[in-house]
Amino acid sequence: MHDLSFISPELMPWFMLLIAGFGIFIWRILGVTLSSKINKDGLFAKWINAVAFAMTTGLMVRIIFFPTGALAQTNMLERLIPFVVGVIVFLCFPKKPIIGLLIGVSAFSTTILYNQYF
Amino acid sequence: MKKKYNPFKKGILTGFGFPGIGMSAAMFGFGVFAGEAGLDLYLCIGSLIILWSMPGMVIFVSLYTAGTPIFLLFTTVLLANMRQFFLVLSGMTLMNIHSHKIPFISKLFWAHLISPTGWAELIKIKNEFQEKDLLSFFRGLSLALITINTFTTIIGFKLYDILPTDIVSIPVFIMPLYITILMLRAVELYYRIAVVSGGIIGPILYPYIGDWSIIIGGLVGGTLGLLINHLIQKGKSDA
Repeated sequence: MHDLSFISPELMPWFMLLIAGFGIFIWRILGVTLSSKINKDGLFAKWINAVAFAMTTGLMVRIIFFPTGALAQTNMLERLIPFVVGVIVFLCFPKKPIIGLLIGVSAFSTTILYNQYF
Repeated sequence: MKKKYNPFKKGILTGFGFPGIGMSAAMFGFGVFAGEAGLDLYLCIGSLIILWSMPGMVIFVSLYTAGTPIFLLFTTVLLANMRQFFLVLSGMTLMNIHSHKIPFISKLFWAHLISPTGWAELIKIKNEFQEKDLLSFFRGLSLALITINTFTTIIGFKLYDILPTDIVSIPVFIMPLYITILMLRAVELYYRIAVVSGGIIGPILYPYIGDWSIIIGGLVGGTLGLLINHLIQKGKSDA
């Protein structure tokens, strides 16, 4: 258990939260500080953006393959097929991204509701 | 004819549109998760505002309720959130934050509010506004996102024992699909290569190295994108 007995029990959750917050804030402080040293049109800025693109996509695809919370209660194929369908529809109609999103979400909703009630 | 909004208003409208719906759906799921874990409502909202990072929030709730020692909590959150560094670095550079005459603490405040959703919207909008207006857009966007996410987190928290989990998963599904589509809209070839390789490498490595997979996938994917683009450009100029 938590061994910080000098902090009152009511404040302990908030203390833990602030410590967790500091764990994230370190990266943000570092990001702001270093951003002043970067030429925004340079190769390094392009690389940072490319890394952020790759990381964000990796994170989103990971949510589909290895979800937590409510999504984890669904089957892999229930998530994966509507996701792929949404992406393919977007690639067919790249100028109207909303179509891919709506079809993907509709496919997922239909599958979930069908399994829930039929 | 398409109506032209000022950047701040456009940010608010964007935040209350699909990006906000997608992100707040995930926060709705977080509210359910926090309620199930036995957090009180204030701590649940506090973790949303103070952490503003879904992995950080989920880790905090999981480890705190398990009674994890404070050093382990700090280290886990720290290591799982390295991606924030790249998002903030990229977002701050996009907005050219240091050209604005605002105190460092304000810059930190806006950096705190950069999430994958906020960053993705900045990328999407960057060619619609002048660079100096992007901060104003981001302010409006953040205001809307904080409002809608706080609201849906509270709703999720209050409804956690009423709604079937399967139904809760429907709004949560919106965010990954929406942001993946946003990423695929990138025009530049090196970003497209980065998106595809990051989307493949990260999840493949995840069972072996956990949250580090996203960082490794991002670094490899981003580097691969620039490298392949460089080789293609070189091949064209040689031809």
